[in-house]
Amino acid sequence: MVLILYFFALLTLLLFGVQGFVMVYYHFKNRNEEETADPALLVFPPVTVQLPIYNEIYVVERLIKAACRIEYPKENLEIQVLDDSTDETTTVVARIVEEMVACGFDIKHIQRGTREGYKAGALREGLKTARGEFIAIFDADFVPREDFLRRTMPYFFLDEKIGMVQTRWEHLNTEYSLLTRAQAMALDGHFVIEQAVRNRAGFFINFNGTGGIWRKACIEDAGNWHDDTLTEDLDLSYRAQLRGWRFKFLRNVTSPAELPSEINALKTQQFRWTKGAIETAKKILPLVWRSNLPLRIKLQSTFHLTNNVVFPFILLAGILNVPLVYVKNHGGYETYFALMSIFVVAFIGSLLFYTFSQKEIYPDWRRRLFLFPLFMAGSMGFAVNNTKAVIEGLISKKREFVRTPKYAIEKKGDAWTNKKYVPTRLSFTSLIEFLLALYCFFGVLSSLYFSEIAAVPFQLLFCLGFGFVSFLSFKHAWTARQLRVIRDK
Amino acid sequence: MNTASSETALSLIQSLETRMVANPFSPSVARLASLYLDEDRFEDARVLCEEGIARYPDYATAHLVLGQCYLGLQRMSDARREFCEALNLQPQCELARTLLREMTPTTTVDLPMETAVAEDWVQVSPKHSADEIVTPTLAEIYADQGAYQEAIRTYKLLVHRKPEERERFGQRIRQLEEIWRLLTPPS
Repeated sequence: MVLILYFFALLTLLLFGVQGFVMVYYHFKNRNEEETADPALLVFPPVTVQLPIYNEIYVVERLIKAACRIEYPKENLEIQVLDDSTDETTTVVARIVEEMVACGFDIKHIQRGTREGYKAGALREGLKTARGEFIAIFDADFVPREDFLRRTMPYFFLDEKIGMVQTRWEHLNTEYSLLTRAQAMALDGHFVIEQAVRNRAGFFINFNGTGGIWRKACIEDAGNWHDDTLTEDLDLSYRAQLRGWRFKFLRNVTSPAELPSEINALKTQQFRWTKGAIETAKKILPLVWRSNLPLRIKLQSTFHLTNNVVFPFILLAGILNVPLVYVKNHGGYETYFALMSIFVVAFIGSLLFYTFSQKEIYPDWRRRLFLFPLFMAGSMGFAVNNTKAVIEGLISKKREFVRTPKYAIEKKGDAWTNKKYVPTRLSFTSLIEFLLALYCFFGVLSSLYFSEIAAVPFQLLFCLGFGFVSFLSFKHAWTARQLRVIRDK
Repeated sequence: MNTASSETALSLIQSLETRMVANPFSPSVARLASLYLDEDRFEDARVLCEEGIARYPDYATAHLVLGQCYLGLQRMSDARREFCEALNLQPQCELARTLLREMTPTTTVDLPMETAVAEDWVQVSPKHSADEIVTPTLAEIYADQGAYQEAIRTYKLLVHRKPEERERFGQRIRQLEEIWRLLTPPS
């Protein structure tokens, strides 16, 4: 029984691991296609920059001013601050908006007085009055570059079926901690290989919620923003592409942003992305399969929308690893070794995927790769959190859109600890992660005892992953709680 | 432009083009590019200048002409960068200074600063507490945006936090201050 379950879990992981090879294959296949130089922007139609914010007092000034510095004829650049805040952020926004209006900018402070529909609701509200034919969107943790419009807009004129242009996320605070470095690696993998490959091969890609620009007609034609999933960006992307709109991903144009430096904030972000993707898959995949798209696009879309399903299977593999050591030593299950080697294949697929993504954009990629084991351990450590998200997504549990708090921290020595948005509640998952760390440690000892050396590396990774994630969760929540006590006194 | 002079310009362009083909390393790129500029052929001029600069990175006139191409193409931050480079190489270049000064007010948001730029650059206003964002990447984003004061302040905070990098960041601060001084009209 254990063996069958384990085999099934590994098979699923293998399936998605092979996807890593597929991506790397396409990466090399299309690599030699000449990257065309930036086309020149010769016309300047009205553009609206939407800045959806919710209680972002630490970063809102940086965001608004950077948006104002985007190079574009002032008379055709409209900026909408879509402010759903319930704290003093609103006062700060009002002051900056006033300042910028005095400088001659067309900038509006839009408050709805409700958070209905969360980000999707705010974007929809802004769209009603937006005068731009093109809509750029930046979340609060971004610092748009001045050449954003100059480098993205020309693609809309090269091809009138282009509905959205997405830039690559760049990271402002990669070096802050091991946690931010691991995140940078994960995101780079998504952008540099996955988005670039999908886009060139003609598969569907997604708008990443921020750092991209839409043709307004495309948003409207696709049916506008919906708030029935937690990932409104993914949902609208698929609806638009199913309607025949094409997207463009620009790997060489970047939009810099801050990575969450606090683990409980990162957990909520991962939870939202994972659950949202599952919800979107439930909503969109039937439409994809009923459409008359080529089979390879249907298959790739399925992989794209469901790849978070790996988390329950990672968790399962981690748990079953330990009894398997005992099973093997109680009778000749020689297949065990064969199964282990399957896991290695999945691992290599993933390793190649991230190696090439790092190599593509950083000259010091070799140094960065030392982090890969930690990154793997981290993904395993997040399995509990994300498994919960997958299950909730599958059973459609309604949940508030919990946004990721941003603290404007970009280097070591900065501190989120004196900021007020830090989550203080410790979730039950951290306790489970801690117990799993102990359990996997026991597994490592068992493997050593039975001289199953081949099993040790993966068990060790699981043990470290769960240990790392639960330790940080406890530590960050504890620090935050202490600070709240001090503040409340 | 009357027909006669435009014809001479065209024949001049043709002869220079022939010379460029015969000798791709000819330093007449800047001259040919500025002729293109007169004809509003900004893209041709840009490509030519960029190639020329790749061969002769210290060619001040090429930087100046490239800056003008960018101006024509509405690429403000790139234009600003080229004018600065031209001035850096040839501080007496009045045209670069004038063009830089003319474009600045329309393209940057002037921000009030607590500390005057000329002050000791390690001194940072206490208002900017330990948790403000600071990385070289961010500072350079500000510089690209033409927000030199923000860029300088970010570097000052960086020096404050990483005294061991004082030399490297200090050098960049001085460069940025130089540009900033150039751009501020004497009061």
